[in-house]
Amino acid sequence: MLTVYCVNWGTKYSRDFTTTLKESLQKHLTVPHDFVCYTDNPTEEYDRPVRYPYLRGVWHKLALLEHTGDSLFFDQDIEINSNVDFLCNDFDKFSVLDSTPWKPKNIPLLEFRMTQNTLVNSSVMRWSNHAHIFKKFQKHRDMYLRLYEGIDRYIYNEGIEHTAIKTDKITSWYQKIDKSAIVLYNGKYK
Amino acid sequence: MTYNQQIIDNYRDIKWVAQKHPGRFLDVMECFSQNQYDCKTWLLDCLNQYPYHFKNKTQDSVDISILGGWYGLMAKLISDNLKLKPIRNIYSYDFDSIAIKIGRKFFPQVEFIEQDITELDIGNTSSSIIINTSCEHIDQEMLYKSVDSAPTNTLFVLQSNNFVQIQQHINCVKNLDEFQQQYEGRLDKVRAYEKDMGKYTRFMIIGVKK
Repeated sequence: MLTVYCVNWGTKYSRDFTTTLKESLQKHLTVPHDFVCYTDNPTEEYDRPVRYPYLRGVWHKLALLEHTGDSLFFDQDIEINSNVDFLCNDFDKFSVLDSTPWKPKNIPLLEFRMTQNTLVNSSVMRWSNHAHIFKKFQKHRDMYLRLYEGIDRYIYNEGIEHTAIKTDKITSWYQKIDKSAIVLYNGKYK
Repeated sequence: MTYNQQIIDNYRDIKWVAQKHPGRFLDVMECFSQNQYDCKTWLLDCLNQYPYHFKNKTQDSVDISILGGWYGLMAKLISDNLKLKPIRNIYSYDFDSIAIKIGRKFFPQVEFIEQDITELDIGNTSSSIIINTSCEHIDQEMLYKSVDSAPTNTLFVLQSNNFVQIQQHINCVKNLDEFQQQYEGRLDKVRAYEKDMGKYTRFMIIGVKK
């Protein structure tokens, strides 16, 4: 059985975001699945308490990789407009999104490297047996938390083996393209 | 500003970091920030006034270990400014191989050792003084293990803070009392200090392993 995960930690996103995500998936993901939300404030039957309370924000997403079995992850700040069954393959690879379509093209290379920038986006992730990625992070957690603002930069700059999903069915609001299957509102909510 | 060869050498080393390890450039800048410097010189001022006996204090010189030494600023400042005792060896431990490489470039006189301090058996080192300025980054059980594995009379210098907003800070303390209480069964002859850093308060205890 496929498991679909999300994380709602802290106060950045209200419960409405999680409810909307769950309802969108009921409508647009026809593959049978369980929906699970990891949160520091469990209130619904599908909620699970975060496993590592000392972690902050997006780093809880990385902890999800401890789970084995066919798995998808979606951020809270996405909009699902049509069928997303196309994501239900290649679970044997750890996959994140290729962010080059919406990444500014004029970042100087030295600035890109100095800021540990990234060309992947983890608003959507796919995996099945990749617990080693979180294990590596935990081993030297303090250093990675110091060096990287978030997990996209960790994945890209630490040489984590990954596949970058390239598809026009997933777009970012930065691209100003209406109604692709999934629209990411990455960076919109502060 | 008065330029001298040391400043020119520093710029050369910083350029080397930008070219060879650009992803570490901002991290290096943070390591050598005013805040980091102030906290470490404060440690030196207090340590130089510590009045009690500790392991090997009567010897001519002592070995010192810095746990989580990063790029070596603490080791360098200790090396140049410790008045409490002459130094025989100063070791800077860190698991971060790139930090070790950069530290060796900056401070060739410091002995950098690539080792995870959570796996370090302090009982097997020759150090009389153990310094850890990043307790807020480390699990408390690991901190206890480092003290427990040290020989009796080893002098510990520990710093922590209450800056909970930083994502790496997984083990902050609320105040100096809490910090002292954590070690009251383990350290003796304790001197405790706090320093207002504006956004947060830094705490320090200096004491001898019971």
